[in-house]
Amino acid sequence: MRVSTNEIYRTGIESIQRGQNELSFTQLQMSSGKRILTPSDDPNGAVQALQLKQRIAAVEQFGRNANYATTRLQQEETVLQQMGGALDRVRELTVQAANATQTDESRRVIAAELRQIRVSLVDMANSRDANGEYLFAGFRSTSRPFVNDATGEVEYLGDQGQRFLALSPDRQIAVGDSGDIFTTVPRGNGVFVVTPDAGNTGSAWVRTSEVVDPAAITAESYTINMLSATSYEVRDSSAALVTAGSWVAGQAIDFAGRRVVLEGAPAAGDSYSVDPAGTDSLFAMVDDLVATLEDPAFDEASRARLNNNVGLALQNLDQSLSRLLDVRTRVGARLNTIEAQGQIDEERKLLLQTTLSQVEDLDYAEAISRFALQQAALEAAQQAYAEMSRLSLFDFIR
Amino acid sequence: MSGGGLFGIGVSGLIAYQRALQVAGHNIANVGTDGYSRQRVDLEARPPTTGGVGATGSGVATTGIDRVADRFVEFRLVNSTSAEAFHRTYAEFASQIDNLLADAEAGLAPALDEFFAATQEVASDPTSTAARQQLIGAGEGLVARFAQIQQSIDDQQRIANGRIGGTVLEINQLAESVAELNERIVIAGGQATGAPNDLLDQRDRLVRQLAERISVTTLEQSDGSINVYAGRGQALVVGTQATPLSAEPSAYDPSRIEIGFRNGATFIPVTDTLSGGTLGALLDVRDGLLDPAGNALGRVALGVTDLFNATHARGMDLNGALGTDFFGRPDPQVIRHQGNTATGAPALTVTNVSGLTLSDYELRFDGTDWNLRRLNDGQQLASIAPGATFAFDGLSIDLAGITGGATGDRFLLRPTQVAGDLTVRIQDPRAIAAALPVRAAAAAANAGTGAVGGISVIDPTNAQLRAPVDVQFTGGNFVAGAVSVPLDPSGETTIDINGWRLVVRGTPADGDVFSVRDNSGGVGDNRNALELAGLADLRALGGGTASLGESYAELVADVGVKTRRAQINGEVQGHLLGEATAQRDAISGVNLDEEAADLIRFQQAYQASAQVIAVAGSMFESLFEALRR
Repeated sequence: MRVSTNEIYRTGIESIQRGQNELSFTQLQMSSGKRILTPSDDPNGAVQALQLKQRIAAVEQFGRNANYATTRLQQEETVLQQMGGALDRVRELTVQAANATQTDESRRVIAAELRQIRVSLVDMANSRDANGEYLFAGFRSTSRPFVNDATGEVEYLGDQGQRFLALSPDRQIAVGDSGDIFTTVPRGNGVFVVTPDAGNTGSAWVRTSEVVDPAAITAESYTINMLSATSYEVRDSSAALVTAGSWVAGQAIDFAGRRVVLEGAPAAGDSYSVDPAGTDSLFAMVDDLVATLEDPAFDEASRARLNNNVGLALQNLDQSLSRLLDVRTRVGARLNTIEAQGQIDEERKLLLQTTLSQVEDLDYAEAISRFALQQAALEAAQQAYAEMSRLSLFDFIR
Repeated sequence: MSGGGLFGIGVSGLIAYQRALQVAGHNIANVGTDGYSRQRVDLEARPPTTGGVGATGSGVATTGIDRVADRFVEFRLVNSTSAEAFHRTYAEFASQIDNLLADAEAGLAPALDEFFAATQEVASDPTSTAARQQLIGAGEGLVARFAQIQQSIDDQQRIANGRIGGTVLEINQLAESVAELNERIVIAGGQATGAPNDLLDQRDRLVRQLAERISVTTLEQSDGSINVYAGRGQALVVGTQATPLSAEPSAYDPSRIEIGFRNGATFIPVTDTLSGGTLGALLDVRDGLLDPAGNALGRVALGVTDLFNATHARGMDLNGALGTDFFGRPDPQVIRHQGNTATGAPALTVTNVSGLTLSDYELRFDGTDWNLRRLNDGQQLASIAPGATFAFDGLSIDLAGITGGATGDRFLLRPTQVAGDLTVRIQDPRAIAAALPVRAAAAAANAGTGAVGGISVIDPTNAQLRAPVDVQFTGGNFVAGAVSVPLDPSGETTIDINGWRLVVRGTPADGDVFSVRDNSGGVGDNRNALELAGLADLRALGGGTASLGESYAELVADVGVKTRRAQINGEVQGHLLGEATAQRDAISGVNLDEEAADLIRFQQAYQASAQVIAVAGSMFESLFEALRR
């Protein structure tokens, strides 16, 4: 084939330019460390990189959410722990107060300490987080949830709202509990409460009240009537007779899945109402206990009342403690979930970053050898051009 | 044989090789001339004289100077020139947008990520003014990023339109020059002095320059002139007459250039028929790359604004008021054609972002009805009676605003061209609606296992939304006023009242009560902020197939693929053009060594011819010498 002089020069220049282009692209790749400099270098890879970066950013954001949730839950756990400690002390004092050697005076001293503890319990329930938000106020987190009402009882002004945070696109976790947990503690044994009638004159008091057959339990009220010091009957709310029999102190009275054990000497006509337990606030329970201890016990009946009330108070305290424990367990489970999710996220992030690196990062070994090759090719092209341009027949015509 | 014959032969050789040396010199002189075709002297033995001994040669004659060229190779070169210029120009524009879209700092993706991260922060800490302020800032950053990318697309549009106008002028000048050369070639050819080689080279070069700007076909006429056609047979040059193209502002959008022919007052648009070359690439970039890119960006923008606003409206802000629009956006564009007889314009509204396409639409009156056509696939969607409404592709159009109309009246609908004009409406951090306006609770005295599974707002415009409602479970039904919903056996019952939706899980006991209350004061509530943050992953676009981020990634991929294709095609066409040029040069190009050899050859032949004359002279000398004795 004929080759024109222009063609020789043009191909020479073109191969030099191509060599320079390739070399400069490789150089850019090496200086940025990226395989993909613009999306058109690898549209698929570029989009993949874009989505990987978005997912990494999302995982990091979820990590920040988890940190926030952890802080809040840990604060909640600390408060619950402190409140549990305070209630332990209340229980200790109650057991102490139940001791028969106590006098009205010594009980008043105990009651005074209980009053102090009650104040600090309310303060703890009104704990705030680092942002000044009340921990146990539901959604009304900027106003104090537990305040005294006109009668001196603690009133809950928050709501049942519970804040959730996202740990992943499809997993949300509660980062707190509303103040409800303190205001809806079941009373007594959690199912029913035995209350002596205010007009009782005997010295009998409730030693035990427990559920023996949960299947037989309904939300029904009953009354135990002592027909004499040695016989009783049980009637339901419509006054129908449920059971009756003779009685001695310490004998179990079983009816409708319930068991009630009375001690002491009841007078004929004494009665005990057995009602569904319902719920009460933890603070009210302590208030009741204080009132009981401040009430002087001077005769059989008032001592019986004291025994009854202290017994109920101990049951209530156990309910409160178990409620606090329940919530603490829940909080602990949430913290575990967050930690587990954190580990998953760390692994996921590592995987995403590895993939991202594979997609967009430069393989330096390959790039360096490519650079060397391109450099050699460019040098060869320049050399060839110089040699070719030197060749001319005119040089030989003289 | 006479000495005179030999003289004649010698002289014919002298003249012929002088001419041949001249041509070789001309070739050498034009070695660097673009488009020059080497020339060759055609030599021929002169007719012999016939005498007694037979035919005796009478020397050499120059029959012509040939231009060494191949018409088919030239065709190939013209076509390759168009194709290469097309892809090179396309790649040049596409890579500008391409670079911008996936930029780690300037692209949309980081701004979108930051915005939703800020939303998560508000969800984490709903009472923090700082987090709320940050969300407003991130919203403004996002809006600015949309505007900036749209601005870049608009800039490229402006540059493309400017270059379209400039290229049309160049095409007209080149066509004019071809017409002039046609005239000179016809005259030169008519004088029967052989083909005007250098003029033909010049014309070929002009045609190649034309081809670089637009794809052309040429047709050679018997008189030596050529006709040049562009697009679908639109004549640019016929004989000695050039027809100029006209670049005029579009009747829809004055900043857009339409190309056509002007016949007196009539403008015949031919934009759609033109292809190839720089002009074809510019039109393709404008209509096939930048417009869809703007639409795709706008669709993401509509997705962000409409979804965020709708969710925000269902929430309650720190002041206890319902959420207002977080983002502001312009209405979908309706552009009236300047030639319309009809007055007014149809109203176009976005009803459902997930149905939106990337296309523009045209509404055209046929004398009775308005015909709606989707422009990217040309599909006829509907014939709408004047004054009627029609829903399509996530949009709704109401023609009540149009008065009158003549056949051919039309409107251009550009629903997704909004990305440049978004705003953040909310400036007060307290006005971010992170909470829900209602809360639900199970009564403390409830005896059953029924629990509140959640409450959500489905119609924030309901006037009774925040009115207190007690839902009581009675006889297997949830009852509140006139509403009664039976217990769902699946264990999850949905109760819709007053614009909210309450979900109760489990089985309540008879008489259990679930209360729904106004949530004012619920400043620590982050339920709506969680909903807002969840929008980042919601597959809400493209008929529910793509999240906002994915939809943007589609745009990046689309532009990336188009750019890549143009770059690869540009390289391929560059090689093909190189080959075509090499092929042409192999035939028509000057090789200096060849010319050097010719110089020696012709010089020696010239010298030899001179020697022939000397011999003839010496023959005369000998004769005279003999006679003198």
